[in-house]
Amino acid sequence: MGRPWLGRFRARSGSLQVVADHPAEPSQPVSTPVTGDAEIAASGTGLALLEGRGLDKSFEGNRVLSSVDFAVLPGEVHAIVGENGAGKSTLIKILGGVYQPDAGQLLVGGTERRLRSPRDALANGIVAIHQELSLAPHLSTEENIFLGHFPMRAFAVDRGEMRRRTLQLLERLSVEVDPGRPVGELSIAQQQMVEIAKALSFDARLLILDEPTAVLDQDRVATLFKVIGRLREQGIGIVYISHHLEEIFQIADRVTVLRDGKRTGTEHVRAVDQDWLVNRMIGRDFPPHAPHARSSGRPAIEVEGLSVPRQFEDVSFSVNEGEIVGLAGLVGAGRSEVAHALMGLTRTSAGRIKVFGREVRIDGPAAASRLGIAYVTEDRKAYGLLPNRPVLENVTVANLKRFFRFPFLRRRKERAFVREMIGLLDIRLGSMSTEIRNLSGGNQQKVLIGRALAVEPKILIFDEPTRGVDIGAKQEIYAFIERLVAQGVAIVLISSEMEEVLRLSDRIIVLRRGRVAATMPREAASEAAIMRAAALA
Amino acid sequence: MPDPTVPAAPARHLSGGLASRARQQIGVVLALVALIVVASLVSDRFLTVPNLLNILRQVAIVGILAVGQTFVILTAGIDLSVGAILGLSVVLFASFLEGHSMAVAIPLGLMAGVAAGLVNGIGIAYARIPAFIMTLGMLSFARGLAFIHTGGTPIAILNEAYYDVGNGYILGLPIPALFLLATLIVSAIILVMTPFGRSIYAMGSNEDAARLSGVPVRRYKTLVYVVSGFLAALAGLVYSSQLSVGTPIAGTGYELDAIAAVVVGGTSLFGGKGSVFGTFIGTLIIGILANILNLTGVDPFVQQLFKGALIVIAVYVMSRSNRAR
Repeated sequence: MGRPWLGRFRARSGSLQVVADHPAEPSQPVSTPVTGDAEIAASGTGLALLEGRGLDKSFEGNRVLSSVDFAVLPGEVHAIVGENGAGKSTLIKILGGVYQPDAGQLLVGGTERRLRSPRDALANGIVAIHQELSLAPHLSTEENIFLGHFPMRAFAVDRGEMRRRTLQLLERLSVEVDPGRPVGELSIAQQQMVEIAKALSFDARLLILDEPTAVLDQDRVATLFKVIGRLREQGIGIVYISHHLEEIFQIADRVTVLRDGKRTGTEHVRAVDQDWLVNRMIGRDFPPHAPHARSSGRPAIEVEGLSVPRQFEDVSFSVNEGEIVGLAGLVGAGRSEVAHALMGLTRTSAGRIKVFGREVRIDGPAAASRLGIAYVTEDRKAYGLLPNRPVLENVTVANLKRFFRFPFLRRRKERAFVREMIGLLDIRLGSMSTEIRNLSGGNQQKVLIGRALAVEPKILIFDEPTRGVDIGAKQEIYAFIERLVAQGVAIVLISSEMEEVLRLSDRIIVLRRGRVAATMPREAASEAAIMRAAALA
Repeated sequence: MPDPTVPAAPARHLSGGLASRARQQIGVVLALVALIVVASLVSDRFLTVPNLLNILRQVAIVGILAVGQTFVILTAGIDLSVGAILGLSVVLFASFLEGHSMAVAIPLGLMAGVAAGLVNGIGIAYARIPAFIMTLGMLSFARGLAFIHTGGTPIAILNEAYYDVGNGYILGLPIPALFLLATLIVSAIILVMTPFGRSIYAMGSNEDAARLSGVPVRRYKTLVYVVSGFLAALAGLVYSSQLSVGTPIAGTGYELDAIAAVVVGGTSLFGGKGSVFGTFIGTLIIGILANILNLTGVDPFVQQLFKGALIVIAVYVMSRSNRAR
């Protein structure tokens, strides 16, 4: 697949501020180097763009936020971190006017305000940009930016003025996007920029970025960070949410940690390290990681010269029983596409697949599961969840045959299996008739792993197994993958998280533009080696 | 302290499941109860056994269509052709009965419904024609066949045994009502207790996820339209024997009544949520409303207004209560 957008979406490096590992002093009046609570109070008096004091919020008697203080200064990137369920989304929804706090105050520029709706927040210069972007795909970039406040001349949209102002905004961000092109044709990264430009067109002074990097690959993250750096220079305050702690250290000035709805700390980023963050977030220790016993099993799956037109070409690798092979590479390198081909979702044009030494033809997921191959998707929403169905059905759907004895499904057997999965994976839910959409990301992922186990897989493909999952659940999923491999399951691990690949894999295959760029054993692998193979031609 | 996150007893799941199912249906059931109360206040003829049996007989045809429609709508599809398939089967039943016994005519007529459903299903599942378009085409096509077959004039049915199918009683219950009840029970069992039924919900909830889980999506999708076509022909059987005539205009517009019953019964047009029990209640609500209006002598043209308003209000109230939860 070509990448026509690469050329158009190059940040103009000449005019960019380079965002170093640690940002230079922000140009705005931030810095009395006090830390913690004292600073919040100090900065709160008039200096802060937005300040929340003693924010409380409960849902149906469940307290999800209790007396949280939070302030954002002009020209600072203030990160909020915490596990899923710690209250991050509730807090940013209060800041963005979606929820009203039960108690506490919001001050905008030092004056108390009530933000009754996102529109209200917008009127106060506050814009939240969520993971799911809210653009109209068939409208052009400029139309999206000015939707709802088109520059008018008499009774018509002043297209010339709209184009001029769009280019100005894009210039401010130092990004190149064709203003006339339908947004649906842009890459996700470009669409994000359009969202940001749209926010600026409303004179936003505070941007809330909710997991902006979750949908981006490495080089696009760098571009986003440069844009954030520019916005900071221009005195815009940014609230930054991310699961990736290393990003906090790259981009944030201050960080606030939430745990169980309480603020457990606010610090200058340069004053703290990862351990500090993790301790405040989880308040518990993980068992140290013990590498699993090296495999000596027979080859479970062998892929030779596999090709799918316009996706990947001549990909070969093999995975033994009791072995984890990591598939690394940038987003778009063809990793998930290889997995899809192994599940029979796409038609291969060349190559062979052998399962336990026997050459097989896989014409669909059902055939794959008969061969003992299971796949845990990277895109839970699109390809994983049956959102409005109970957890039980979400687990057993992958192998109804197993629970079927003519003429009926055996509910009792289904329940027993699901109960076993709930125990095994430590899935937290009220009951297995809960609709899966009501679970947290981590628990949803565990349910889908349980679904994969329903086919008793001998070969298990994990595609981004910890995406959108909190730290606690992440560790549990790692531990679980290691247990599976210890039992002799062959595992293919697709992941964009370097740490994850390095930690779990016995061997690492790096894909670049649909081809195998490198194969390295665990001992020889390093973040730098993978990055070089993945990103450098 | 027992771990509250891992549910212990299976009984809890069962009650949890039933309770949540009951909660989903409660609004519809309450609406039905309210309607019955109003009806019995408005007319003292309403709560009499003959009248209630009469209602059951009257709703049987649309009720059977609505059950088939429920299968389709649960997969997030739609079948606009059921009224026309009913019409086609009606004329076929009538003409087969001219030279053959019931034992021959009935299976042949039902097969016509299966065949039409199969064409729908293949077009939708394999050729990926949108269900709305495919079944809209079939609506016109099947109706056209019915007219061609009869040359536009109704065919009289003279077989007396056949007449009893639509007008007779077994154990004091009208036979059409028994057809409806049997259809409901069998369908409910299929939907709740078989892999096919479970897969219908899965496909309606997220078709891509179902496919990736190994559900034979295309086969089952086809089968859903076959079920709908078959039940349309079964409804045609009841229709033709009730009237003893095979008229090519039979069932015109019934597809909309069937869809209305499904929707009033709480099944989501987006798929994955709903039940034939709800559809039955929905059918009764619409049937009882028509019955009261008849009993109180409301102009049939005005009755249409009531029905239209009922559909919109019912769905509005349900979507509100869903959001409240």
